[in-house]
Amino acid sequence: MSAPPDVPTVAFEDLGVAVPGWVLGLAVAAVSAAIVAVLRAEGAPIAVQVVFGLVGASSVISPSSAAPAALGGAAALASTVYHTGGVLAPAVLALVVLVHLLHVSAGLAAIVPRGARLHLSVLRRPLRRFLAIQAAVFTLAGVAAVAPVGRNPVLLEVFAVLGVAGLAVVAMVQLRRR
Amino acid sequence: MATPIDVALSGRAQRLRMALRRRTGEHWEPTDALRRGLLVGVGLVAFGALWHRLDVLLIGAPLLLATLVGLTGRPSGPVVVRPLPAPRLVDVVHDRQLSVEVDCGGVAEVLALRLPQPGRGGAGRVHVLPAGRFRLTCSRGSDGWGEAIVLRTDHLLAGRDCLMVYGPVVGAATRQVVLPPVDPLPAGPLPPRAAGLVGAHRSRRPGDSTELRAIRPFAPGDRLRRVDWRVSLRAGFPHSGALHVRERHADADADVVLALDTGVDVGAALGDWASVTPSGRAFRTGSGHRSGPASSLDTAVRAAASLAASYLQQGDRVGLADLGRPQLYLKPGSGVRQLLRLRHRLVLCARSAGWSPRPVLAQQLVPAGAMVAVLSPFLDDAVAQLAVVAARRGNLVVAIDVLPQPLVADPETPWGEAVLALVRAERRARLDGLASHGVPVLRWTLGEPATAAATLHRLTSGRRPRLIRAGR
Repeated sequence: MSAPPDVPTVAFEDLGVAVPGWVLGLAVAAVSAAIVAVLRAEGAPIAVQVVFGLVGASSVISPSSAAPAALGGAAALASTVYHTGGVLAPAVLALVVLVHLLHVSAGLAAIVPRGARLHLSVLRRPLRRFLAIQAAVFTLAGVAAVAPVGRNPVLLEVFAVLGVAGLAVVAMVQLRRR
Repeated sequence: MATPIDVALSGRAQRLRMALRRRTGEHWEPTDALRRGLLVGVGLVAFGALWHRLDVLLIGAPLLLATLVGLTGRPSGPVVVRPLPAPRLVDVVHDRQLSVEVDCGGVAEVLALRLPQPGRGGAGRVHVLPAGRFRLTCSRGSDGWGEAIVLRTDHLLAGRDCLMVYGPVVGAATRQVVLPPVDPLPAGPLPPRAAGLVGAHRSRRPGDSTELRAIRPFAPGDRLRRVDWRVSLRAGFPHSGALHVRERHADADADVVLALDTGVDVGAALGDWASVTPSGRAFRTGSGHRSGPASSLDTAVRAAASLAASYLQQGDRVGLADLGRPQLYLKPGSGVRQLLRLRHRLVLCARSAGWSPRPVLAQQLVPAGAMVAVLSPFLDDAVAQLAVVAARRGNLVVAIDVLPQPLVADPETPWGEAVLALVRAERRARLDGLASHGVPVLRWTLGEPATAAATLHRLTSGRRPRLIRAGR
């Protein structure tokens, strides 16, 4: 039994630089700490910072738990409470990047054992996608920044909410097709 | 045409197959990342839209977008991660390469695959690689010998942003028998105890070699060119004395039986003697398994392989006797195939080490006139007694001590040093007893096989028979 001739052969030595799997846990910890730092800069009290710190630690210990979701979601909601600046303030933009980064790094950390070797070439495609999505979101933010401020028609808002609900339905259908 | 029963059975079989695959993880399933992306992404976007909070909407938008992008590329198609066939019997140095065929199919992005770790035994550690369709080549992890799993393709696949995973799957295992290494020895570490009519060693019989055996009076049948005129003239020929001829030795092969003591396998640390069962280990390195030094059996097997190779290279016949399991006896033979058989048999002996209550070396297993090399740590009297009995039968016996040195006392008990002193004293008495019965004792140290071989040669070369002078 042999592989077809058109299958490329890759030597283990050519896989490139590898780092230990726990580096991903370190990345989750760094992102969590950065989120807490942003909230602190926004004026969140110490107790809130401690709670967010504990949730961040839980995300590091168990990235496949609900902790990263709680941290990202709660950080976004907390910014509505403590944020007093403009909509496109640096703190908000930082959270846009950090919550996404937390989502991606926790997803990867959840499947990589701490003792594994992570070859850095595996991060190339997720990084490219991350940058593309961030570019799209920042474009949206730029459009929102130049758009006129005022009350939207009710019908438009209903369509917007229905659109979001439609996206959720599409995602559920995709899941069920599996 | 399929009957309804066949259809029902096939449907049942398919359901059963699906259920089994579900148990083994061979299917795609969503992860917490997908739930997180959907829940947090949709929740924040909806919150932002309903409460007119653009900042919340922007924070949730990347998660929702990433989840939707991740779901557009659906992982599908068969996943193939399997080792390519590798030779079952390999040498330590050669045939190190192993191959894994990988076909992740669909849009799988991350492949976590267990691969051998250089310098370590076992199946190795997990490596996280970009998924795809390729053939991955790697080297066998351990430099040791023995029989063990050298590759087990445990794997897990993940889709975009790890929203879907396939596995973890316990992969197919590749077992190999790695033959013990052969350390090159200088030629000729063989005692003058040989049998047969042709070969590289001096036989006790008269023959046609160049080595002088005796000078004796001429007898009918002797060739004239063998007459030693100088001795004959001194003896008074042709007046009163007789004509003398020079008699030479015959060249001969030797029979060597390597007697391997597999009853105990211990390291240098006395504290591990009772708690560790080294025979259960997968690979033995000889030069240090994992963290510890070589055990006595590692040393014995490598010494046996090296001695066998050295003797077989000279055309001698070498056999193997496992003192613990006589059924693993290998008859003396010669040639390259015998060396291969012997090294393979050594692996079998090491695998079943430690199962015998007392050592056995039956008389019929040792050919008459054969040299017997007893490789043992000599930790009990039975092996020493066995060596003495073999020497009394008329065989040349050499005791090769393979106990790792220096011994280390158990630090966890106050009696450690006392026990060490006792063990040393017992062994000294045992080895002295062997020497007093005419069994030379040689310590074999890994990494210094040439020194051991030279010592062996010195020990055995002192037993040459004296020159027999005529008329004495």
